[in-house]
Amino acid sequence: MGYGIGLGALNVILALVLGPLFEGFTRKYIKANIAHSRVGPLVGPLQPFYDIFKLLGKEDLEIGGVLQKIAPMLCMASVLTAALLVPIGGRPPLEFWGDFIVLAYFLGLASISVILGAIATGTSYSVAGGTREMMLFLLLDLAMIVSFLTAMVNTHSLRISDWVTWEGTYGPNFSMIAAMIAALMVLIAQFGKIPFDIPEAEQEVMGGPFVEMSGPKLALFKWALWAKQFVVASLFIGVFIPWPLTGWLWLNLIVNLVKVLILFVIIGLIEVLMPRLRIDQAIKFYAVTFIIGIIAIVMAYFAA
Amino acid sequence: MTGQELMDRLKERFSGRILDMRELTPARIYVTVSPDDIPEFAKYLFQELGARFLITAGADTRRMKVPMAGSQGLGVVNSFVATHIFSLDRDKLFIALRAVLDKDNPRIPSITPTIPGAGWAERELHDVIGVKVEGHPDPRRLLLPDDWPEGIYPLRKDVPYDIKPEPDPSAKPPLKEPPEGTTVLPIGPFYPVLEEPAYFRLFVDGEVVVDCDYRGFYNHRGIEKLGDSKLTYNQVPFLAERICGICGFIHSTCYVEAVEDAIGIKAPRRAKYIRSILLELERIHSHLLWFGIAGHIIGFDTVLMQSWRIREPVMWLCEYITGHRKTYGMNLVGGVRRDITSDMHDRILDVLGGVEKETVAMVKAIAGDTSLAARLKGVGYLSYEDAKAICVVGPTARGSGVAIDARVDHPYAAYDELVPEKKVHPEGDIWARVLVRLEEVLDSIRLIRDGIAGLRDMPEGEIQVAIGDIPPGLEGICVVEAPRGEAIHYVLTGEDNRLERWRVRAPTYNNLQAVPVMIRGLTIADVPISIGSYDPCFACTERVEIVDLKDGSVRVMSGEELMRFKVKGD
Repeated sequence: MGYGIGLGALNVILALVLGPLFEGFTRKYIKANIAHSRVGPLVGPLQPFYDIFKLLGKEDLEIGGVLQKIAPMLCMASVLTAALLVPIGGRPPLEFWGDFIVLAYFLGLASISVILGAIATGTSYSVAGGTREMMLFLLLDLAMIVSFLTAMVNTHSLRISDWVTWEGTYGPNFSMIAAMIAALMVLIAQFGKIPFDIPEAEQEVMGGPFVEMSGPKLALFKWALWAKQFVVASLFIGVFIPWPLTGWLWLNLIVNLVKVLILFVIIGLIEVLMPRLRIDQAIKFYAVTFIIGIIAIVMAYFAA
Repeated sequence: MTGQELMDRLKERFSGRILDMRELTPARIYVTVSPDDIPEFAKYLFQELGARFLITAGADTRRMKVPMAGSQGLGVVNSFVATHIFSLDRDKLFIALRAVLDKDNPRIPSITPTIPGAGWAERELHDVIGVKVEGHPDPRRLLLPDDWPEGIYPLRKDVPYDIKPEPDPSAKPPLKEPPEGTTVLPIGPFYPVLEEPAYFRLFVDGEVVVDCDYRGFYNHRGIEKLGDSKLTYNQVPFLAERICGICGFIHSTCYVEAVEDAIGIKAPRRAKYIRSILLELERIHSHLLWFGIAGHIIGFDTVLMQSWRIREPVMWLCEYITGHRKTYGMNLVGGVRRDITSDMHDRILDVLGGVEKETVAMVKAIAGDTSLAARLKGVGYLSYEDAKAICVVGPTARGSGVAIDARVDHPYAAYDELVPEKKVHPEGDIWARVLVRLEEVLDSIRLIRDGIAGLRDMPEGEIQVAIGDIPPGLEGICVVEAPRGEAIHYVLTGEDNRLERWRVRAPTYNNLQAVPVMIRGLTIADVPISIGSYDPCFACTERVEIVDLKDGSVRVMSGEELMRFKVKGD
């Protein structure tokens, strides 16, 4: 029990610290130095923390009542709860039959709280952004669940730790590779960066759901969404690329973190090499993802 | 068709109804008719001869003591005149269609029903000179602030340049009613994508744009009034240069060449070459700036950073040549103020070589980028017919297959010898406008190289001629191809060695009128890039007027709203 609590605390802290840190790493070294030929933030990967602390000290304007106030907290709380279900060090701190469904719900709740906050404020840009977030969320959530269900078909289990063990021992088979491609495409969108920052699109809807968020609320949202990036990346690594499963927690942890960082770098590269998609283009992209996910499930079904 | 042939054709067609007609300087025809005949003449020019509408220049001539050069036959005209300026691009001709209006009750029938592109020009004619435009389909106020009192027409000569009417915070802008079933999505009054003042109201149905309304001119600086009431001929170029923050040299060149056209002198060859070289440098840095902004608008910041990095050496080069990155202060009537001496040539060519190499690399990257093409192809479509009707200019027109380029059609500076290539793409979408600009950058580099080679064959130091006193009543027209399209300046000289009337039209003035056509049926996501795709320059467009009230009531209201929100937050 004590072990589980320790592991849970570790997961939460890692999500809170490494989410912004990895974001800062790609922002400085990939975006600024490599793609933009500029120096970038002088504090390097620490810049997101500076952003958070600066925002925490800013004025907290409010126009949307209670709902707007609790939306960022809800977002953070659901991301951190989701972090408890993700195998960052090879094993999730909390595991039970059907934990993936709970995880999907909590990740979904993070998006829903963004939409709630947007609709609570009711101004035209935040509603436009909220509507876009809603359209993307409905499709993205579906595509994500489909891409992970292949693992369920392969293992006949709905427990994430079983998936990790199975993939680590027997995998990958063809169905898992197809599912991995689908999940990777979903992951890029879940990061919410260009080409998928459609709800926020500064140049079109002025920050969308966050346009009315200021100070601590914005800080909390940003922090939660960076932590979410780390959580979903860890989930992807855990389920689809868990090797080597060494049996030592710390070694597993370090290897996994390196893999997550590489994933951040890849997604950072996509961000600087693409313009933002239009919402109809994004929907087509998800449709392709969805189809690949379905194919993977069918493959797994007939192989097993 | 030569000017003489055109005059013969007009005479044949409208014999007896032409009050006065003459060709002043070569290729500039002035025709004076009665106000009621204006629509018919305009229709003939626009529809049958295929002339392009440029601008309307209204003038208050009630205090003039000499006849206007273009309508000498009528003697001294102590009244108001309205001059619609057309151009026949293929024949390299300008036609100024003029009506002398009633002194006490100036009125003129509208030509907008025939020529949609004249809509703003006629609204402005009413706003600033007080000419009643009869039959205009959309006679709302265009450029005066919402609380400007009725009946004060700032460009009339009896209105002082520093008039300050009482502000009225309760005034409302005359806005269009949204069509039924749509919601209004405001962009502006501060247009955040370009950080400039402009107010678009999009009428959207879900994500799809049904129509839009535009209220601009929040940035009036009174430049025209200042130019024709306070400054002397050789002070105006420095003011003209400040019309635009990017293509200032375009405007000072356009002004000085218009005055040179009026008084019939020619600047020395060398000065003309130097003007061309600087104009092309401006085109290069302006287009590179635009690529960056366009990239930024669609979320492609890598393009922004890289193209602005490539641009920077051009700015340093401008500073090296003129002493300033941007506002060169080079032009005077009759020449330029500094020479480009032979010891500077190598460095110029060096920088150009570097810029060319990097631009070619960028062109390859952009032209081959499928994700960019997916975002830009088929978007912001403007058909050839619409482009003709709305009289759009520059890359916006050339991207819709309208082959106009003032450098070729109406050569000024040294473009009679340094001949640019017209870059035309017929597709009419944003992608076509991108390609036009990409090709123009490379062509500009070639032109500067030719220009430098030309300078080597000319004796150094001959860069100015003296102009002396300028008599009143002369008229001049000049168009200059700015990176965004052609700018046009019309001048009428006056007493005391000052301008009587100076009319400026920046290219965005025409292109902005095409926005409603361009964005109809698009999604919200495509609107910023469509507006951005013709490289708008709001500040340039808003040069007219003596007003410094800065904003209509719109900004005040949103300020109050902000305050209200804040109170609620506390």
